[in-house]
Amino acid sequence: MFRLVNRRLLLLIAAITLLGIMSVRAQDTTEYVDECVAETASEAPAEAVAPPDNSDISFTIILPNPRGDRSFIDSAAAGAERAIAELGVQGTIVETAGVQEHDAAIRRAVQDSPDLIITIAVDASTIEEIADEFPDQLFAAQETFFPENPDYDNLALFNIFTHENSYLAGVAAGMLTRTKIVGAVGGGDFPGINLFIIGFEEGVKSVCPECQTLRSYVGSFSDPVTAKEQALNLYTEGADILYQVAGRSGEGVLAAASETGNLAIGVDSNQDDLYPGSIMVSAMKRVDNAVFGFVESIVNDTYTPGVTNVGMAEGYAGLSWDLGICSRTFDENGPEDLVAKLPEVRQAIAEARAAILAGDIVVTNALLEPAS
Amino acid sequence: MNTQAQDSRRYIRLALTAIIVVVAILVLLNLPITLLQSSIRLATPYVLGSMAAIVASRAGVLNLAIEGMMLVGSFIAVAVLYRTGLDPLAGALAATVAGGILGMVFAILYLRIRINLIILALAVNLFISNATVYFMRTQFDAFGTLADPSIRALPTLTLPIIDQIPFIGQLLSGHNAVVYLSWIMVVVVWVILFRTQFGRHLRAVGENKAAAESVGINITRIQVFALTFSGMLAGLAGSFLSIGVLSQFVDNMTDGRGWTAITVSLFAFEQPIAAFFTALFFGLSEALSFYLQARPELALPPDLLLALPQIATIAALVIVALRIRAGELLKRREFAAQFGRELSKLRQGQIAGD
Repeated sequence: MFRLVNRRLLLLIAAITLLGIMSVRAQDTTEYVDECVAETASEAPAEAVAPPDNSDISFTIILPNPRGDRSFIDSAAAGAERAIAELGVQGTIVETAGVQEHDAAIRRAVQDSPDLIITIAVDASTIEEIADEFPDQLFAAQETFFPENPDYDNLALFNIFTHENSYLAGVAAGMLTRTKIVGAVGGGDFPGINLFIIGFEEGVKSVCPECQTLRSYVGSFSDPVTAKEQALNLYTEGADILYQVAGRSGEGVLAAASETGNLAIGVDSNQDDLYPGSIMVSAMKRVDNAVFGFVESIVNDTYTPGVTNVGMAEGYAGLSWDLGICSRTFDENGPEDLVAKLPEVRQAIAEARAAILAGDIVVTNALLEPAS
Repeated sequence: MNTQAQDSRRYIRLALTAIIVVVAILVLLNLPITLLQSSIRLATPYVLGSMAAIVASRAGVLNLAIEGMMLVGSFIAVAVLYRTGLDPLAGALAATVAGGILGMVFAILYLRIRINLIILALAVNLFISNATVYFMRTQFDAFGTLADPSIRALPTLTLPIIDQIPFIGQLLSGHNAVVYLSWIMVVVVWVILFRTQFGRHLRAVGENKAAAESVGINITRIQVFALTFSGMLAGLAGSFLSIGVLSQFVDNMTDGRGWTAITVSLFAFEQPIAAFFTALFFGLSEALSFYLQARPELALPPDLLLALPQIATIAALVIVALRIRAGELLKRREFAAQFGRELSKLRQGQIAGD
């Protein structure tokens, strides 16, 4: 297994070095243009448009944990709130305390028979059983992974793969690390989290083959104290940039970065502003767009059951630096020597993005290849 | 001959203990200093939490609500500091008071209204875990995480003189006030329990309630005090998590540390000093598991490493149990030998002790 991975990695590194050489030459001719700066100049002030009246359409969204991770769950809730505000539909946001309440919460929502029930990261068995039991109720499940694709007329599955934008975050980390050691702190050692970490590590190696990557797993998504100690430990080991993929535990990683003067990379939501200057970029997962899309599909009557896998190509995964968010917090607050490198980094990211979208770079998807 | 054998056995045991201590010190010296500092930080909630458990259970009340009392401390510390600009120490003090109040309420509910102790404790834990979320939303309009630049963490203190000693200075100096307070609390709890009349009464109540009552000890007063004090210690432990390590409150941030603290106290046979070292051991094994995770060259599975504290606990429990059993066996064998000797003396017509 390891040998296979190594060979794949070697191939990848070889391909990327080649690309790197080519890109160096390319750099001489094309100057990187910051799209965000160009955009803000031409952008007209947004007009407040009254939402259309769709109050006869209703949806319920079941959040897997309480809000407040300033990350994944908050992003989903934000999408639901945007749908209520912009589409003028009736929406109910239900927060649950954990996996033990998912089943009851979904069944309770079925009683109200809304037009659509959206679940976020609920177990496959739970949603399958309920979808089977209530064939007249439409369901949309975000981040639920089935071993085999199920076939229900009332169940739409939507998965956002985040290995590719993690790769881009890795490119940034690989170029900006001073110590040539970067690390990742995960919530737990399983494919859903390793999807981020493996993509990130491949991105780091693509621009900095000699860089060392470290990993640490918290074993909980609500233990920032442990996460902080682990982050401090990784910083002591020489890492200067850490990628946090640990939900609310990740708060500890971000705090450790700010306290020790090192850097961290946020996840899922735009976390750049939590500790200005300490968080260089966030690998965003647009769960909000996915939730909004679900509601929109009901309003426009385009609901289609089945599995949809999306990622960076469809705009559901990206970086906080990208067009649309244009976070420039790090430019204003980060260390000067690193900020000076940012145009070069953004150029490299733009090239890596183009190469991924063109299929020239294939980032390992840990969810589809659990053995890796 | 008998005493000689005992003496030599004692020397062997002493030598073995000395060797173990020396090896332990050598191992500790070779570990990076940051790991040891980290284990002290990780151990602090266990130190305070286990003192809370000891005080309560020595007074005959099993306090299973330490988790909730800790969480209340974590929350109150942050809530008091939020946009008030107060000194972080005020937050720790408020957390201690809040824990104490909760402990007192707990005592009144248990002693006056006579609610079942276990059910009461579980109810308190659940109530606090949800009440903190509720108040975070209604009072601070925050979801899950309550953070603000106005919430400052406890500053680290540099100990004069000790700070100059190599190694020891690095190890002991540069922690925040709650860490030092937790060490002082170990001594305070020990003094109260074993060196004061009040402590003797408290232990008497824990040993045998009826007997204590019959000699005129006010059981209610003692148990109310024990639970209040226990709550104060747990509240202080909670404040260490929210404003000692971090400077924010995160929903349910104690993450089972209160329960671990109860385990620590049971593990140490409810002895304060032993509990202190047990807590340090727990902290060290946690820090060690993080340290080993960050060494890819070892290629150890992270799940196994995360279970290291638990594995270490079970191993230590087995060793303790084996030692107790070995001690009993030894005593039994000595007794049999003594008995046999006495018996043979009797048979020879001598009277024992003559």
